[in-house]
Amino acid sequence: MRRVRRPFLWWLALLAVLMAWPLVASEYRVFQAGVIASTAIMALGLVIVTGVAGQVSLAQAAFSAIGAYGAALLATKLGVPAYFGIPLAAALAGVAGYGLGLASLRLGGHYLALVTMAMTAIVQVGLTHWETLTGGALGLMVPPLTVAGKELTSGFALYYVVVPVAFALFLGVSNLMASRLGRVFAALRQSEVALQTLGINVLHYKALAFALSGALGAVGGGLQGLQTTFLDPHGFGIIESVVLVAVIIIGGFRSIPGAVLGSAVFVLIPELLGGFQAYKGVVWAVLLLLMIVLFPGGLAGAGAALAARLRPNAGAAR
Amino acid sequence: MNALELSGVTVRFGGLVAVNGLSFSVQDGAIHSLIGPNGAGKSTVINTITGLYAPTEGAVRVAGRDTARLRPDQIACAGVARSFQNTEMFGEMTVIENILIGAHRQARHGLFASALRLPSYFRGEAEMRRRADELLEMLGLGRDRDTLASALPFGKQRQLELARALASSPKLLLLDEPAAGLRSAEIDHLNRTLVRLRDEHRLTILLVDHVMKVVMNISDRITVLNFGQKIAEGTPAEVRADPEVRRAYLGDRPDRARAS
Repeated sequence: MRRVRRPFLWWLALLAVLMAWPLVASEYRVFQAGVIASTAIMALGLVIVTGVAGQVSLAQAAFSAIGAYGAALLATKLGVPAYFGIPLAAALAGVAGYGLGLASLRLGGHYLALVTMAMTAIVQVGLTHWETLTGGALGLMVPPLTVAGKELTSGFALYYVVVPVAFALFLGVSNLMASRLGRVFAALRQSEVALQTLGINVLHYKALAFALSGALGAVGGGLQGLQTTFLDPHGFGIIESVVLVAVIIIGGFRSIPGAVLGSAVFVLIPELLGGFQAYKGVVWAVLLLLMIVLFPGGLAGAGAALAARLRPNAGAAR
Repeated sequence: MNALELSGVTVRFGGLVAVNGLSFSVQDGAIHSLIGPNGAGKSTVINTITGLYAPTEGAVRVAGRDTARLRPDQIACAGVARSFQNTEMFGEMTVIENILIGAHRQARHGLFASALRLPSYFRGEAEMRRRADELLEMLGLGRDRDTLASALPFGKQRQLELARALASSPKLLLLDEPAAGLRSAEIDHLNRTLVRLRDEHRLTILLVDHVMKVVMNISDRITVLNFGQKIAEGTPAEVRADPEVRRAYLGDRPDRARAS
C-alpha cells in the first residue's frame, strides 16, 4: 500500500497545477494546451495498442473520426448533448475496435497493420461520400457544448472540460497498465505462445487493446471537434493516423506521459516554424528520424535518462 | 482416472511423420517421463498435448476430456501448464512480473476495478503478489525478484518458467527438458522440487528429458520414444533393463554387448 500513496500525491499536485495555470496564461496558450490534451488522449490509445501491446495500428484517425462525427451528428440530428454524445461515440468506437482486433485471428504483424490502414481509408471514404449525413467534403459544423444553458466555446472554458477529462483518462490508463490487464498487454508483444500456454486468450486481449485504443481515439476526436468547431474528412485520413504513430514515437513509444510530450511537440511545431510552414512535413520527418536514432525511448525515455544521470547515487536506471 | 491419455496419436508435417500412432497414459499424481534420442518426437508430443500442434490422427484426453476442439489457452484452462525447451520468457519484464502473468487467471479484479483502483484491485494484486513471492522462494529465485527475465542465467530462466507455470495452478505439468544446462547441484534441487510438487501439491508431471539423473531417480513410469514410436514403457528399472531401449537410446553398442 505504501507504494501507492506517493504517486497519488504527485497526481494531485499535477492536477492542481493544471487547474491553476490558465489563470495566469494567455488565452492562446490555454487553447493550445487544450488541443495538446485532446491530441494526447488519441495518442494514449495508440500507446496502449501499439506501444504496449505491440500491434501496429493505423486506425486511430478512423476512431477519432467516429468520436468527432459521432458526437457532432448525435448533437445535430438528435439533440444529444456532447457530454452524452462523446461517451456514446466512444462506446461505438470501442466495439468497432474490438471487431478490428478480432481480425488478428488470421492476420498478424504487417498484415494486421494494413487492415487497420484500410479501416481508416474506408471511414474517410464514408465521411466524404455519405453527404446527406456527414456533409461530405464540405464538412460539418460541430454544435458547441452547452452546460447549464451556457455555450462553452472559448479556449479557456473548453480547457476546463478537456484537461480534466484527459487527466482522468491518463490516471485511469496508468492504473490499468500497472494492473494484471496491463501486464498481459505488455506480454502480448513479447510471447504470444507463452501467454496461450498460461491459459490466456490472446485474441480477446488483442481485441481489448484495440477496443481501448478505439474508445480513447473517439474521446480525443470528440473533444477536439468541440475545440476546432468544424469537421472535414481530410482531417481523418491515413496521414493523420501515421502522424499519431509518429507522435508516440517522439513522445516515447510505451510511455504514458510520452503521449502528452509527443502531442505537445506536434501542436507546437507549426508555431516554432514561423514563416516556414511549407517545410512542416520535412521538419517532422527529420525530427522523427533523429528521435528514432538518438533517443529510441522518445522524449520520455530521454527525460528519464537525464534524470538518472542527475542523480547518480539513485541506483542503476532501467 | 488418468490425468492424460494419448491414443493412437500421429503428427505429420507434410511427408515427415514426427509422432507415429503413439498411445500412453499418465496416471493421476505420477511423475511420468518421456525419453528418447534427439528427434524422437518428444517435444512434438508436448506441443500436441498443449494444442500448439493438431494431431493428424488419434486423440488426446486431459482428465478424460478430448482436447481436439480446444484452443491452446482453453487446454491450459483445463489445468495443463508447460515449460519450453528453449524457454519462452517475457524478457522485458521482471521475474515477479513473469510469475504474475502466470497467476493472471487466478485473480478476478477487472478493467474498471483496476482503472479506478477499487478495493478489489488492491486485494487482488496483493494476493497475486503473495502467491508469486511464495513460488519465488520455493524455486530459489527470491533474490532475483526484480531482475529482468532476459538478464537471468539460463538455469534460472528454467526455474522461472517452472514458477510461472505453477502460478497458473495447473493439475498437469509438462516439462520440456527442465534439467538441460543445469549444474549438478541445480539438478538435485530440481529433483526435490518436482517430487515435492507431486507429493505435497498433488501435481501430475510429464517430464521430457535427457538427463538420466532426473529421469531415473524420480520417475514413477517412463515411456521411451524412437522415431516417433513407442518402443518401451515401464518403471525406471524395467526400462533400464529393456534391450531395445539400450540399443536405441542408452548407447549400448553391439560390439560391447557381444563382449559382455
